[in-house]
Amino acid sequence: MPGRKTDGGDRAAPRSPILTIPCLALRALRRLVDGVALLLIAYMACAILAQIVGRYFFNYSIAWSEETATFAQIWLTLLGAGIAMRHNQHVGVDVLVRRLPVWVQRLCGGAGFVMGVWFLATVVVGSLAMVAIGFIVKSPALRLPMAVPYTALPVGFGYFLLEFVLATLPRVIHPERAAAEADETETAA
Amino acid sequence: MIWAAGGFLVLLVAGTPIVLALGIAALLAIELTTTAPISIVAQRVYGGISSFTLMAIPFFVASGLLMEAGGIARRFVNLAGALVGWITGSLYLVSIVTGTGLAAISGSGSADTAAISAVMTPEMRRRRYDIDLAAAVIAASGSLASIIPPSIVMIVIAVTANQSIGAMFLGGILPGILVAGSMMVGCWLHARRGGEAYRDTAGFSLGRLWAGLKDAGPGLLVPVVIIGGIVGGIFTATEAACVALFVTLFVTLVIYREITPADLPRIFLRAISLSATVLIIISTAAVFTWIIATQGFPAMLRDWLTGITDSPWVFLLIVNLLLLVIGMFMESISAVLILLPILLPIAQGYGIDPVQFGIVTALNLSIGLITPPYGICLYVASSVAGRRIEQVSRRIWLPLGCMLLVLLLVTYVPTISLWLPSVLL
Repeated sequence: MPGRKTDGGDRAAPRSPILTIPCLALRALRRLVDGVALLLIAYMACAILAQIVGRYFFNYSIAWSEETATFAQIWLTLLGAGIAMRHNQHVGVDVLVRRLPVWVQRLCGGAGFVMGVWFLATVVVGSLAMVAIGFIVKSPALRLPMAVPYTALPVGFGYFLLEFVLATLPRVIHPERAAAEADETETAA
Repeated sequence: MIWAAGGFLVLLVAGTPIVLALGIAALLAIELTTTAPISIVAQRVYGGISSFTLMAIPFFVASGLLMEAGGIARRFVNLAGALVGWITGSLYLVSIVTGTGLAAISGSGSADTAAISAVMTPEMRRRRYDIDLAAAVIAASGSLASIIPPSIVMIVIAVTANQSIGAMFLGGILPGILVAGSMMVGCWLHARRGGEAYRDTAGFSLGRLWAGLKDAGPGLLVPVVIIGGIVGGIFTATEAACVALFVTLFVTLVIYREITPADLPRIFLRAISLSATVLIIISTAAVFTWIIATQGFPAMLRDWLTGITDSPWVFLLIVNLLLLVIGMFMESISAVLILLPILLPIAQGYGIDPVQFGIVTALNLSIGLITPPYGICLYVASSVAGRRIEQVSRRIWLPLGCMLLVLLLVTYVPTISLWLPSVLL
């Protein structure tokens, strides 16, 4: 319907029709990733709880809980890395580079950007071979194909790469604007 | 080796996130100096995070964030006020006691610092306390989170050093209490010589203490579950973290009721992304330490160190200085992941217990949280207080001195870190 805009869409700056679809797709993807991540942590907590309850109340050791929870954790970590990139939560030391002239900042940022893409893409490509092997190799407890956890590598690092490009590219082009942004002052440790 | 270490330092200074700087540097070294297939990178990355024990991290982070959103800091401040509010310089002491309590339910120094600052800074300003010293003391109180269990840094140290998390957690208790105690004495001595502001205290009242205890009590269940569960052999650390999470959900949703189930997705997503920043560094650091090790760097360093001295005392002194300097510039988790695999085998060669060495490492890095230029707790406390880091840094000497004193004690008296694990486990 012309003229009607979905709410929240106004936050995404580009309003041209060519960019609207990618923006909507990105928003849907992020929703999906968030939802999956929440399900994964909920699953982990319940599986471990089931393990404790099984051991103490039913005297029954559950082999599947530890293995599946570990797989869930691998997925959670790799998707979470992309979520953290979206919120700029990955720790870095930018105290020094911020004091340098803008063109130096742009150069450092650009070099870091290119090499970051190189590393993330290498992991994505390299992990495809692991996934292929993972269809043959079976997990120790449940005899699940190891492709189940291995697939988290290309998917998670692929998403990380996407968020890395989206978060870093604007800062490489306009380092002076990035410096004005609020700092992320929270770490897990 | 040159490529890996040099590349890492250049990228770090250029502001690249550490998680990528480690990966890129390792990849550079692999490409330029070895013929290893590139899929080795993906394999090492996977090996770094595929660990059941590490699952404790998202659980502890989530439970800490939930407690803080649920209003635990204010309750601990009230309890601490009833406990030590009658002593000269009361607000410094209240901050330290609150920091100790928060450290026992959360593993994150920066989150604890933010929580204490939010409650204490306005009150300290109103009562005309020295605001720079106040921020410095609050930063140090928040940094206790990495020494007192549960501690994220300790989990990473335990996993890296292949030690039991339970032993590391118990080993951190006495050093943590010593740091808190020495800072309280230090602040009290300072306040006694200070102005009238410090003498404005509330009297001690048993009724107030009881009310504070009742209100904060449910939150104190978390450390009871964690320590009790691990000491009693009921849970593994991962299970203890999971139970702590469920206890926290119950306390915040059913008893305190400051958050509702609708807040949970937001809080859990934050927990997920924050713990992912830690876990993903573990994965890229695995590639980095692997390439460093294959090129014989740890052996080189060991030969060099043993050439200098055969005394464990001198070795520990060198390690402390190294860790203090590194802690000033680097974030704790990556410092552990890069240095511990190199330093620990050398320490064991000198006959130093790995648990004690881990505690010394954790203590050094917790000092790194309050030292400029990159001290995350110092940073958070200064920004909440509305002061510049340089201003607060000038007053850091009192809490820093206390921490250094305890560091010396813990370094040279192994009993302080080893006694509790040996008695209780």
